[in-house]
Amino acid sequence: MRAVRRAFIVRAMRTVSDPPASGAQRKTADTVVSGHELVKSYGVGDAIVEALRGVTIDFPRGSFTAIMGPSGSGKSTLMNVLAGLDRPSDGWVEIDGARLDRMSDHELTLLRRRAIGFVFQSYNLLPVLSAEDNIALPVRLAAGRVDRAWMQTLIETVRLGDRVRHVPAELSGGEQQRVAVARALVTHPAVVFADEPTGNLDSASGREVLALLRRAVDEFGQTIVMVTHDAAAAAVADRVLFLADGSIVDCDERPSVGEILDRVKALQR
Amino acid sequence: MIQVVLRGMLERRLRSILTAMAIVFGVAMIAGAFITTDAINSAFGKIEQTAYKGVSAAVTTKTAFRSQYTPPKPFGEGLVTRIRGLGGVSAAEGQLEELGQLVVGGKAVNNTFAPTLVISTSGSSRPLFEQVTVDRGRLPTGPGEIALDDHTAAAQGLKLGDAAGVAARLGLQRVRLVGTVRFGGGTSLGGAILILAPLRDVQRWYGMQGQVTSVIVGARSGVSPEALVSQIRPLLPRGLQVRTGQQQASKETSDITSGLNSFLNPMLLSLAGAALLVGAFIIFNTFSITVAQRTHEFALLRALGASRRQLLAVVSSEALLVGSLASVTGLFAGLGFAALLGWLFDAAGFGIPRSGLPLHARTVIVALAAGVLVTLAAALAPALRATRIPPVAALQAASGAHGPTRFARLRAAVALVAGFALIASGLFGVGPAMSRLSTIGAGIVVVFIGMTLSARWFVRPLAALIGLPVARVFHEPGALARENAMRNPVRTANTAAALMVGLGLVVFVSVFAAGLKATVAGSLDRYVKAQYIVTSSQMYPLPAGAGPAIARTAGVAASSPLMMDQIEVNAHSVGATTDMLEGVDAGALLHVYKPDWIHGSSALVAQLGGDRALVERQFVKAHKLRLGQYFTVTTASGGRMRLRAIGEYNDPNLLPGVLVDTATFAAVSTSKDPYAWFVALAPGASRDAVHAALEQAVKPFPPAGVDSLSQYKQLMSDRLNQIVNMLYALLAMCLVIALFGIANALLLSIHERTREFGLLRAVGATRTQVRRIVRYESVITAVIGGVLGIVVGIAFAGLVTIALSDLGLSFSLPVSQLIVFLMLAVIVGVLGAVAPARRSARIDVLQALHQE
Ligand SMILES: Nc1ncnc2c1ncn2[C@@H]1O[C@H](COP(=O)(O)OP(=O)(O)OP(=O)(O)O)[C@@H](O)[C@H]1O
Ligand SMILES: [Mg+2]
Repeated sequence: MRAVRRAFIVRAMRTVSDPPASGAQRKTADTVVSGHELVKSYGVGDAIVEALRGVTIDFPRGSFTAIMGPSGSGKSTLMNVLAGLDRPSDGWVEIDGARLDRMSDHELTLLRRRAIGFVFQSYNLLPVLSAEDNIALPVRLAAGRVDRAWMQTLIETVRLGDRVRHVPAELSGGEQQRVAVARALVTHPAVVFADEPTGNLDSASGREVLALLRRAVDEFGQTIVMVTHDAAAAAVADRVLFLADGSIVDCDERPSVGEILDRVKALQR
Repeated sequence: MIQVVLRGMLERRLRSILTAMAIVFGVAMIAGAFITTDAINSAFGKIEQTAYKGVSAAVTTKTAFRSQYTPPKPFGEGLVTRIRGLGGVSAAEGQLEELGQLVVGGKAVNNTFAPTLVISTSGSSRPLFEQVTVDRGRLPTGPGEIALDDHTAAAQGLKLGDAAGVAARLGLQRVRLVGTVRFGGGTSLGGAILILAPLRDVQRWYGMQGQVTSVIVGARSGVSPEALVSQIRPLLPRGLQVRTGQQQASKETSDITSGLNSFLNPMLLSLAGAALLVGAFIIFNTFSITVAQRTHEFALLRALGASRRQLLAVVSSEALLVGSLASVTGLFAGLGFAALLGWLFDAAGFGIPRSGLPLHARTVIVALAAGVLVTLAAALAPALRATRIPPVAALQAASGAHGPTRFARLRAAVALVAGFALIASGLFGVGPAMSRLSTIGAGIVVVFIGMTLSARWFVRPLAALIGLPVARVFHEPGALARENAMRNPVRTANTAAALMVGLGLVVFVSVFAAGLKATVAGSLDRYVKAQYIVTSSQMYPLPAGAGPAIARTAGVAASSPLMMDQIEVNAHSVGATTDMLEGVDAGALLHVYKPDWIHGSSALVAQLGGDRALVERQFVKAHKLRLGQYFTVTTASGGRMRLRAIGEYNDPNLLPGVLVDTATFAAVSTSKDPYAWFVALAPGASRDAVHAALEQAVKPFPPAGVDSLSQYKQLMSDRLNQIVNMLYALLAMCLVIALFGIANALLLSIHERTREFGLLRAVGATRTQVRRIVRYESVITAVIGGVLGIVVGIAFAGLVTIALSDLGLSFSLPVSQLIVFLMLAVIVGVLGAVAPARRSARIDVLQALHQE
């Protein structure tokens, strides 16, 4: 039964990623990020580790995708490759219609600056800058003008009040993470990647961060890709991908927490 | 435990090397200082040994004390004949040695600080003694013949038979080169020029017919030098002495070298000390940072049962290892530094003879000990801090910065106050110069430590201020660099400290020199009425023969020579700054000079002559004189006279000591040649025409140059600059060391901020931007060091100025130079950031983000 289902899903995704020529127009309109036959292997010879074994996946604009899977299944690797932080051993990534494998290191940096937002598990902010300045950092690095209104919106959204002028050391973990989300949004990026953004937070703080991400999708039409171990977190997303052994094994639209927990248990077996 | 140390150091190779570099330079300078002075001593030893080769006994004039101002008192040649008549004598030769100048192609050969010596020969073509070996041609025998040292002949492109000139006391003498000679056993003469001419010629050129200043005597075989000396002694009139050749050689060597050693060696060693001090700050900083970074590791070791003592041993043995390796490297680098120093001396025109690069045991021991001890001492505080890390720290999150301890403020204040107090006590106190100098040195060290300790409080605002334009101009990288420089003020302060020390000393020299220049210029402006000053292009006396020529020149209203000699006053040993005797033409003085009277009036000048003297205020103070009182002066050549102070004036720079008429001067001093002429223009005469006429008049006396007052000021400042520039060149070492210090501290900081850089790169900072962040932080830190250095340097110079205010030393800020120094700090910052910036840009984003 499971095997059948998996085969079905993979075929369905193949159809999306290898569309007929006539479908090309539609795809660029809807898809922000796509990975094609992504392979990533570490090491050589006998010690070779295949972290990704041919992953093909599309992320539609304005979608919130959660990626789940057992430890070592390749979640982080997939995210790093999709975000251009790492180069795949094979296959290629396209963001906003641009192929990452054809970009120089410098072009990748500029792409990150313009089109990608990041939220990491921990250590997301520069300790020397105030929360406010941390949010504005990507814009300033691009020597661009900070959009006051947008900054104001973001600051209101992260609900820090006066504490935006404090340095990270004076903020709680949840507050810091909310600042990190605001920073990820500040450049109106094509996509925000979040690797276990709630991994270091207690459940209440975690919920606030997730709510913030959800609002970004609903109110600002932001595309978000989030890796998580937490079923409750994944349930906030529009769609959940399940990864095992470097391959996508499942894809659920709007599953409930219970369904997700079942799936996770099944994968661990 | 030692394994922990070794592994740690190997892992951090670049850092260990950079840390070691801080000490290598200082040790190299110490070794180089000793090697250089040893080389100089050995060269003079060799020169004097050859000068007295084959000489069994030497007759010279007795001196009351040693003075570079006083030529030996000449005596009649008759003595030479009488000595020749003695039974044990095989040969005796009367000698004259004078200062002159070689003239080639109508132009005087200017060898700046090195002398040109005119030495007499017997006039026979075969030397009686083996002082010199003939290289080509022969020794001069007839009138107008000379021989030169082979080096000068080659350098001037002179061939045998070529015509040349010798500028002597009585004017330019036309001569012909008949031979070249080697001297001093192949030792370089350090730019000195030797002119050998027959005794008759030298006597004629210098107006010393029938006179010599020494006699060298050879013994018949079988007669010992001692026996010869006792044969000669009864023949000697008062004021003459006889020594064996050996004794005379070592006496002359020690006369020359003790003078040099008491000045050059301490100077070089203090510069080396400064370099070591800079190195010590870097060692301290590096170890402080690494101990802070290794808190976890140390806590873990403690938790596993390592004792405090063992931790102390871990850190100290790392310091010991770094210190030893650096010291050994530095010792060998010292050979290179000594060679560099020699080159620097030559380039600056201080020709000092040197012989080889002798490495004595003393050099090795002192250099190694200094290097190792300084490293250990500098690492002690961080090592002790490591022992105080509690084992639980292994379980807690690392906390890089720690607040100042309770007593930090007090300690900083105490260090600053104590430092300045030490300097002041050294400057204003009494006691032997050497101990006062070391008090001042200790004070300077303590002030620098105090500055570093207190810097943590003003580094933040300073970094904020300096960083402001950086952030404005360079946008986000600039702003981040500014924040980084402010985040750990203690570390920024410690990093900046090294540059502060180096630049502080540079600024001190510069401000002090500016004060000296302003002082000289001020005295000239205030007191000198003469429009021209005639001086030697070298720092030696001028041929006396130029006097009448100057006086005769049309358009000259009056001129006065300035004779100078050192004196002992009332049998007290000579005080360097006050005990001078100056001879001027009393009739002309008021035309060329305007005395600043303390007691008396210009009417007194006409009374000069006989035993009447005018005295300078500092001289009066030093010898507690009252007006009208008699005092006794003695010159080195033995002249003695009772003088009466009839008036008191103030001018400690141009005319220190005692001012008398030339006739009085000649009665006590053997100095025949003045150091300068002051020349006043006749009213209505054309400045340019008289200047040209004067230049024409002194043409037969090539060293003489005619300068207007403003040209003369320039000349003085140029001369001072020559010395100052050499000091700068040596202090540049400190700046280079500071550069290593900044590079090292930055590398350490980058290492601990790897994740930050990864994050920056992830959110879109380009490699160039990351590099800039590092570079700007470096520049901000360096400029902080620069600003602090300038403040401290000015403070030191101010203190010294106050201490020397009696001597009329004024204070002057060379603003444009200070700006240049600040730019230098910027450059040091940029250069120091090269390696760290490269490393920061190479940080791998993924690895950085996943690093714990
Ligand atoms: N730099 C690397 N070198 C070698 N192997 C690596 C490297 N990075 C990841 N791997 C391997 O690739 C596989 C996937 O790693 P990845 O970090 O993507 O897992 P993950 O799903 O994010 O796990 P987790 O939930 O623990 O974060 C693992 O087997 C891991 O050991
Ligand atoms: Mg992961």
